[in-house]
Amino acid sequence: MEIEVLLAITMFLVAIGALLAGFPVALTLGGVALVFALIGIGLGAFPEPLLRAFPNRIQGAMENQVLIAVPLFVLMGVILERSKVAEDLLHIAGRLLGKMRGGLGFAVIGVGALLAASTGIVGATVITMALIALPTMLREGYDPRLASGTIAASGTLGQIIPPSIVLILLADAISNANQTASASAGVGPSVVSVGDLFAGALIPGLLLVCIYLLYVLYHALFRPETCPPVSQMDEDPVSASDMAFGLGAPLLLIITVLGSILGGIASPTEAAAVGAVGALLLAGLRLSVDQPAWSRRALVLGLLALVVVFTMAGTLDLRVNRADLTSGDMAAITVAAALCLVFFASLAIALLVLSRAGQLRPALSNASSITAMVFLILIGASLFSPYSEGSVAMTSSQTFWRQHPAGRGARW
Amino acid sequence: MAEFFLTLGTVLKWLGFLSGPLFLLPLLVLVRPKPIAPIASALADGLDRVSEAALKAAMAAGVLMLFAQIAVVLARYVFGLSFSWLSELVTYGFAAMFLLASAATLRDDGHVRVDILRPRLSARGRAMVELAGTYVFIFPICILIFWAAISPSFVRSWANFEASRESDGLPLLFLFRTLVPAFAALLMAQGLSQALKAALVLRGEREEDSLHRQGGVA
Repeated sequence: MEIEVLLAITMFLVAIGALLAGFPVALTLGGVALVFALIGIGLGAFPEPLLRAFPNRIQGAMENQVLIAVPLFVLMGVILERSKVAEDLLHIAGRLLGKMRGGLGFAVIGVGALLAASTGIVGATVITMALIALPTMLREGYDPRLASGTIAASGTLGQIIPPSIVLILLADAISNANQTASASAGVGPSVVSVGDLFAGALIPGLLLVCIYLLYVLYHALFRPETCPPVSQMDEDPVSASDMAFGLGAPLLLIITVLGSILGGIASPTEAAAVGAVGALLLAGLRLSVDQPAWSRRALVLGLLALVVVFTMAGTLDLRVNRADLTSGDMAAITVAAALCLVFFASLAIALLVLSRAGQLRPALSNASSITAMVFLILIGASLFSPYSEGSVAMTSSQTFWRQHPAGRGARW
Repeated sequence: MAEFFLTLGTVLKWLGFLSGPLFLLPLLVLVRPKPIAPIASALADGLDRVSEAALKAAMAAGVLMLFAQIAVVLARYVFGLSFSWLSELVTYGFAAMFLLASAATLRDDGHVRVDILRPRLSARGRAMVELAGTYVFIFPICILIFWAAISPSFVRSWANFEASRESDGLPLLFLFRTLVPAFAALLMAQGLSQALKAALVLRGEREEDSLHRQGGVA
């Protein structure tokens, strides 16, 4: 057997062993690859320049415009989580559906799908739902297996329902692979974008939601003892304003962000930025309840300003670099610019409100950590991948590793 | 100005060489814990604080990235404008966010692990994995990144205060490129802190669950 293949197989086994030992995945992948690359260089089986080129791969991640969407979606998810959107949604859904058999199960699945469509990160969703929904479900006499299974399954929908962090990372890898493939096949250039993957994952994701719902329905119809209706409601019925704010606002944000990506209006990075500031303003509104009234008014004003600016941009031509600017155009541009200033001021106020509520620091530090975790895997895996490149036997496993970190990354 | 940074670089280089023996400290703690345990503990806490400062910078970079990106969106979709410096601000903020937060994430146990055997290991077993992994994986990776990042072209970048290639770009490309060696140095320092804490746990000089900061990323 050739020395390279032998080394590659040994490396693979060592990597699996080290991963099982429980050292961080990113550093294990990179570290094992590095150790074996050094052995390979010693044996003359590994070209040294590949090692020297490694920091270029970090540079590549730093300058990648598509990947900027990852921290923005993470920020959006973390801020929404801090603004208790998940709690509100669960309470509303529970009160609406709790009276029927299996109702709490339907509520959990529906909320899981909504949160999945608004965050793209998973871990926090599962924890929130388990903390809120599980005790209620168990108290009402749900079969513990059905209750925990429903929560775990719907909590992880974020991986497949767009905007999903995994899909963004995959899109980056797939578009490179696609370019190489179409170049070697001699066909014209074709592009696989994040939007394509989002569009492709939407229907399977919704199908999955339907299957979960059907499963709970089956239990409700044929094994009613596993999912009884809620016996007594200790809370008031849902008011219209609760509905509008708790359910409507997140829904509007989801439709705006996903709609603009799937409709091809905005790039995922741009849509993610809009989503993140939208989440920031909503969180500010939600948390400003026990803060000065002016801050609440300022936030509403900021949201309105954003909506008006985009409406103006849709109906009027506000482009500045034109030869035929009339005085009416000038006036409209000035108004739009002023509204943008109002909007930025309200963003600053939203930050202030979050900070006063003690949610800004944890949100930001959480978002930074999650982003660092995702990208360290990317860096570690990029050290792992060149080693197996070129060896046919390792190509399939290489694809596995390239996808694997993304899969793990999105758990959080 | 270039003279000053050249001197600074030389000072940093010698500081780096001189701090080399520090990386033997975790092993020394293993061999002879008594006299050096307090020093090792203090050093680990100090390095944790360095990572905390870097995390704060990363958080600020995250906010900067968000605000700059929404400004890019507004400028483009409303006013039909695009500024290289604004887009570069987004890129710089984004890179700084994940590169500077990496060390603190290691401290807070935020980097994903495979939890199959780990929960079945004793606290000593986990500390052993931590110590070995730091020496075998973290230090070599960081040395490689640092060694390859401090290239002649990097030195030239600082010597000329390399600016963006775009005419309306930021004149800060040299700082952007410095993020890579900074990332390696921070991660290596945090690795040293983790190794010290693991060695202290192994010798019973520290609480068994003090390997990672409590209340970190869930």
